[in-house]
Amino acid sequence: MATAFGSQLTELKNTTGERWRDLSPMRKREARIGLMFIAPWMIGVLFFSLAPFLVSFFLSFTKYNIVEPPTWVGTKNYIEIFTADPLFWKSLGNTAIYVVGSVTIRIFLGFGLALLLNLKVRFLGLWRTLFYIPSVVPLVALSIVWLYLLNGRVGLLNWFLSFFGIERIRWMTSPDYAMIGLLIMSTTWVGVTMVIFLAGLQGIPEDYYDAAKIDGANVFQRLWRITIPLMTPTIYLNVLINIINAFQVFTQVFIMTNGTGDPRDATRVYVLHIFDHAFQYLPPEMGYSSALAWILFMIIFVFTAIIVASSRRWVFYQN
Amino acid sequence: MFKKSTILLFIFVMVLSIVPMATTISAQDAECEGDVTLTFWHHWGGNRVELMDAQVAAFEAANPGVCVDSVFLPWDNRLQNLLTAIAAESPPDVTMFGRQDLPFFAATESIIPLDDYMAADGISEDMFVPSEFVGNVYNGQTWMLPQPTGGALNIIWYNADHLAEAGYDSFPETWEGVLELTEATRVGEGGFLDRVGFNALATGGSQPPFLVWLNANGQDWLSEDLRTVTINNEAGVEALQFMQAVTDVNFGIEEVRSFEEGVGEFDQLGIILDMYSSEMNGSWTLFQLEEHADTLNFDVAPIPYGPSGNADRRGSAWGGWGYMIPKNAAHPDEAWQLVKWLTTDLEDIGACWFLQQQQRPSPLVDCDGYLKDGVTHPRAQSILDIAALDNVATISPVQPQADVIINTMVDDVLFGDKSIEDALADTEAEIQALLDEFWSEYN
Repeated sequence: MATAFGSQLTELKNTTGERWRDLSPMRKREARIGLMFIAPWMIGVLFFSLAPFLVSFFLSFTKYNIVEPPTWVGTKNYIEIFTADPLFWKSLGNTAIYVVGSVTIRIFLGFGLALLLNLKVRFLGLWRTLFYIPSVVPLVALSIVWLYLLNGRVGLLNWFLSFFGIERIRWMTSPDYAMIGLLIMSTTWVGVTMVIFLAGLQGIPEDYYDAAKIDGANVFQRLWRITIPLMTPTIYLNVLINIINAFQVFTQVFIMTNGTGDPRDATRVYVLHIFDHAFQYLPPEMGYSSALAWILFMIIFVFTAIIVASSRRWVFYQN
Repeated sequence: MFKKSTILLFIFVMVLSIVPMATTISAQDAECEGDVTLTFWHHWGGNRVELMDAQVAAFEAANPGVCVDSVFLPWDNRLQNLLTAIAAESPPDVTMFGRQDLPFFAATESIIPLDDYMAADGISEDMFVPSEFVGNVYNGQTWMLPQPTGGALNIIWYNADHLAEAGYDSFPETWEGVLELTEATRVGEGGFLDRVGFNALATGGSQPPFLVWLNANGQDWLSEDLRTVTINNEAGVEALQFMQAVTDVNFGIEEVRSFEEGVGEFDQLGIILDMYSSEMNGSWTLFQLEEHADTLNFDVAPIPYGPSGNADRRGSAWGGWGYMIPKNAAHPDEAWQLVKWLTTDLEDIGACWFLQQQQRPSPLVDCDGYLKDGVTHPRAQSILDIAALDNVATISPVQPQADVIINTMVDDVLFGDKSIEDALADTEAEIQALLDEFWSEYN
């Protein structure tokens, strides 16, 4: 087995297509050092990500209440989810709304901010910092702050809207507005998207803009014909990251609704539904919640695959 | 093969990745020295933390060689924390525990029965108020000891000045009277509240408000054998109608919930913030009023009874708390000593002292929870008289899920999505199905 593994190792190619056996002793030494330094991370991934990942797949086919051994039930959990759990569809629908809304907001707002912060203005560093800082505030603290901002009686947002003659909105207690409140809150993290867009903008050669100006292109034409096409790789990256994160929204909903998904399940997102079945109900339904988690994984996987496959049509790389 | 510096750097990186884990392990008292360290979880927040710390310190002084690592955990995450710890086979030695969570843990024997310990140390159920002890027993075994009470959860605390302004010299006894009082003491206009007269959706403890009102309307929600749900009846209809009527007076469910965002626990109680003229809350409210609103002119009253109820049955003694020892606790014998201290000690800074500092009823027969510094609190008798009108309500083995279903039912009605009759019928059927499934597995 060692020999087989060793022969496999010699057949491995590095990123430049070289086989292990073809590497010089110095290159092999460098490779070993590299492997040694990423070993802690790999061990962590193996024990804290990959192993639970596989175990949860097994548990999704069992009835497991945590305190007793799991009992095999086959596909019962999956069948029950799709046929006898109305909150599954409700939470999935809420999550879909959140994904579409928050990703759209962050992409457009982040791109717009990046364009503005790519201009040569005074205190540029300060503006960039101010827009980015909310992204690094701990999520729990941020959720509590937003609870006050969205408070129906004394919230800052209602105070601001009152200047436009808009009557008090009961943001987090009205089923019609609760999800909107969450989407408004999602603008907090636009800073991350903005920074990535900013990096992409600064990678566009000035020559293209100079040539376009000479040809008489105005601002919007330069934006539409040069900036956006050359930003498609960055847009693609941001869309992918934001979709994956948005599907897993949980902490802010848990804090802001006290874990209830209220009002009227208007903010019951998918991961909250998983959490309830795993930890809030007695007996706990860890097998059922594992099945829910795997369904979410497949949904995210399919979305990611669609976006990756479609990227050939709309993502343009400069090289 | 590798340079010495490379190996040293690798070891440094490994150590860095481990150190953050090590620094979060323990928060025990550095002055205590002992061979045994008990891990103790509790949920006594706010101004009770220092009382618990004093109690733990006294236990350590009385039990040389035993130290206690006392950890305060949020109540809302109790199940998540406890289940995870039990699954990892590293539970705390002693944990505060809700009696409403007992059936599942007892049925799966995830906690240690205390009967043998009690017999060895002469601890008997006679030491406790019967209605407080019954919720600690399951299938003939004692699984935890009570502290504090499960009774005296539903008491009306009212601002006497507000009521006097509206022409009331006492709190009404009936639902009809409360409805009139709610309108008379409400302040607000244009559909927005500035002050609530009474809120039927907010109750003391974690019992769903609907079950409180159903009980006050003379109806048990669950059969004594814990197998049959009994909410779909006239008493249930009346309870929902009452909740709906009071909420309508308060400009509807959305406005009530929005208003509730501004109140909380401890010094954020509605009556302390002058946002409520009256509120239903537990006996612990007295401690908060003494600490944070000592000039408030308040009084207490039993909760009103419904048209199908009577004056002798008001609040429901439901759930409550206690202390238990999880299975696989590292030091069960020493853990029992701590449980005994927290629930039966009458002489030292223990069970009785802890309640007396908060001025609240005691589940111990020989402990007057309202006796502090040699003086009995002037409100003591009023509160105890109200507690005497409590009816012990049964707790189902699927209570957390049942609570969600029942609260959803109330929302269905108050948001106009279902009729009262349909809501009751659907809810009864849904909880019954959960119960049937539980008993088919754990019978």
